[in-house]
Amino acid sequence: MGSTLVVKAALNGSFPRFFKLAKLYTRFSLGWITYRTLESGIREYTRKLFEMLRGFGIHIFTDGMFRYDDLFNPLIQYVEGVEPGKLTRFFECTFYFKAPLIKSRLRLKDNVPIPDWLHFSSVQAGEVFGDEYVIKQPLPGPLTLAVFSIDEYYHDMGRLIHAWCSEVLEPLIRMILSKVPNAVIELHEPVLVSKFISREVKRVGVSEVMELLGSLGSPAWVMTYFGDLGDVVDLVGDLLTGGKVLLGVDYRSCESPLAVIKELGVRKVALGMIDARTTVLEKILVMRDEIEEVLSLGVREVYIGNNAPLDPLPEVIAVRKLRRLGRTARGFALLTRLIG
Amino acid sequence: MGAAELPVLPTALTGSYPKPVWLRALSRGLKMYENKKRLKLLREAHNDAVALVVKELEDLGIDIPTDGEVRRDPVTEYLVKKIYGFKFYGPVRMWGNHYVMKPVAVDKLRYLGPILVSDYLHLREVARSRTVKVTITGPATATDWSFNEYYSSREELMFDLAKIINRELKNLEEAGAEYVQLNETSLLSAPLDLESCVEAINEAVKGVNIKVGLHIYGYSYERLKPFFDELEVSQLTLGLAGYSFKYLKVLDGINKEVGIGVVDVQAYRVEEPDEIIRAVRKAMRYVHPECIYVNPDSGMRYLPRAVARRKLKSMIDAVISLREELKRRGLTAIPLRRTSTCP
Repeated sequence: MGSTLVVKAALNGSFPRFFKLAKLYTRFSLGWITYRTLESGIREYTRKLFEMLRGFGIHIFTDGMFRYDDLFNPLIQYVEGVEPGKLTRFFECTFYFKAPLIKSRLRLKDNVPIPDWLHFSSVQAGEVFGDEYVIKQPLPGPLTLAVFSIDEYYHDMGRLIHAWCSEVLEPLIRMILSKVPNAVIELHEPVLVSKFISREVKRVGVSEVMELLGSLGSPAWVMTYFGDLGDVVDLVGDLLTGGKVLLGVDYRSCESPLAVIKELGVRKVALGMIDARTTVLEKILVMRDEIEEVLSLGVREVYIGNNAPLDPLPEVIAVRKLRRLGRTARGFALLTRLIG
Repeated sequence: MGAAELPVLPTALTGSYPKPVWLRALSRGLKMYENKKRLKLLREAHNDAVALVVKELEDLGIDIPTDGEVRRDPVTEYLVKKIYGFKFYGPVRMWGNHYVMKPVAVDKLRYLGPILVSDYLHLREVARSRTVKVTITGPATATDWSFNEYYSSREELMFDLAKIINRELKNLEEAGAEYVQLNETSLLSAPLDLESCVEAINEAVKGVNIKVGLHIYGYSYERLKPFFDELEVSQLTLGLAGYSFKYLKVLDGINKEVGIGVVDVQAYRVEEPDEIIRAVRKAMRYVHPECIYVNPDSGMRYLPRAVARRKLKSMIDAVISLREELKRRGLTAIPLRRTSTCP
C-alpha cells in the first residue's frame, strides 16, 4: 500500500425522505395515484439527492433509502415467516420502526425487488456522476435484525441470527451483487455497540457477519453507532481480518475513538462525524482537526460521513450537514494535491 | 361548584381522537387565505370539530371527554409554538410517512401567556359532561421531542419546560379546569435520566391544586415503579392493551389511582368487551375498583374514526357490565380525586 492519504465524504444509510415524496407515498396508499406515478416520483427525488451530493463533492453514497420506511421495512415484507410488528423506538432518536415479528421459519421470497431498486439508482448515479461514484446498499446486519425481532419461532438468539444471515441476507446480497456488481454492501450493526446486549450475543453476531462477508468475498462497510466501540474492540478486530471490511466508527458516541482506532490498527476507517441526533452543525475546523488526529495514527483512508441514518433530522439540517461534510473532505483533497 | 362525582370505573379518552376528514381537507383549503384570516377561519373550524368530537364521545358514553386534541399536530408543536425560545426547521420524519414539527430550543425559554386556557373554556362550553380533561405534553416528552441548540444539557431544557408547564397548569386551574393530564409518552424511552424526569414532573405540578394525571406508554413500567410514590400526581394512566396486559402486575402494591389502557391504539382489531372485562378484573386484583379509570392505551389519532368509535363502544359496553357487578357490592360512584394517593 502506498502512502497516499484518502479523505472522502460519504452518505451512509438514509437521507430524510423528502416531505413531498412522503406525500406521494400517502397518495399512493390512498389509491389516488398509480404505482407508476409513485415510481417516477421516487426516481425524481433520488436524482435530486444525487445532484445535491455531486454539488457537495460526495461521491460515495446510498440512494437515500427513499423506498424504506425504516431500516427493516420493506425488507421484511420480502421474507417468509415475518410480519411487521409493533412500532418501536430506534435507539435515542424520535424515529420509529416496525419490529420484525417472527412467526415461522425465515426464507427470502423470490420476488424481492431490492436488487432492481439498487440497479435503477445505480443507473441514475451513473447519469449524474459519470464513472466517479460508489453506490452502497444499506441493509440491517444479522445481529441488529435478530435483536430487534420479536421472536415467536426460533426461541434462540443464536439460531435467529444465523437464520437472518443464511436464509435472508446471504441470498439477498448475492442477488444484489449479481445485479449491481460494483455495489458496496453497507451492513448496519448498531447493536454491536449497544450496552444492553450481552457480549456473548455480540460474539455470535460478529462470527455470523464474518462468515457472511467471507463467503461473498466482496467489500463491505459495517456501520456501528450510538454506542462505544471500546468494549468490543477485540470482537470487531476479528471482523476486520482480511481487509475487506471497512468499519464505521461513530465518532460522536464512541468515548475514545482514537484509542479504539489505534488498538484496531486499521489502515482505513469510516468515521461518523456528523451526528444524526442533533441539529447543531458540526464545525469544519473541528472535523479537520479530528481527521488529522486519526491520520496521525497511521490510517491512510478516511471516509467521513453521518454517524447514523439521517431520518431523525429535518431535511434542511441534513442538507447543511452534508454540505459541511463535503467541504471538509474537499479541503483535505486540496491540501493533499498541494503537498503533492 | 361542589366536588365532582363520577360513576365507578369512569371512562375517559386518553388524549387524541381521529380528526374529522373535513377538518383535514379544510385546513388544506384555507392555505389560500392570508395568515390572519386563515387562523380565524381555522379557529372556527377547530371549535366546530371539538364540539363534534365531544358530542360523539358523550353519545358513546364516555364520562370524561377531552377535546380530542383536534387542534393539534402530534407531540409538542402545539405546546411549544406559543413559548418563546423555540423555532422550527421543518417537518421531521417519525416513521413511514408520518412527520412531526419537532421544535428546536434556540434561546432561553420564556412563558408568553396561556396556551390551552381558551381551548379549555371552549371544551367546557360544549361538553355536557360534568368533568372534562385537558391534556398537555409533559416536560420529559417535550424535551425528548425537541432539539436543543441552546441549553448546556437536555435536563436543563427539561426543567425550564417544567416551570413553563407549571405556569400553564396554574392558569388552567384559575380558569376553572378540574382535571389535567401530563402526556409523558416518552418518559420510559427518552435518553433522559429517569430520576430527573420525575423531579421535572413534580416541578411541573408544584402548587397545582387540581387533579393531575400522568399518561405514560411503553413496556418498561417496572423502571418507573420505584418512583410511583414520589410522583406528585393524582393518577397514572398506562397503556396496557397493546402489550396484551402483560405488564398489569406492575400495579401490584400501587397506592395511586390508575387509568388502565384497555384498547390498543396501534391495532385496527376491535377488542371484544369480554377481553376488556377480563383485563379490568385482573387489574382489580391489584387496585381497588374505586381507584380505577378505564381508557384507551394512548391517543387514538392514527386510527380510522370508525375503528376508534367501535373500540370505545366495546370499552363502554365492558364498563357497563362491570359496573353492574360493582353495584351489587354497593359501589356506584367515586369522587374526582386530587390527592396523590388512592384510596
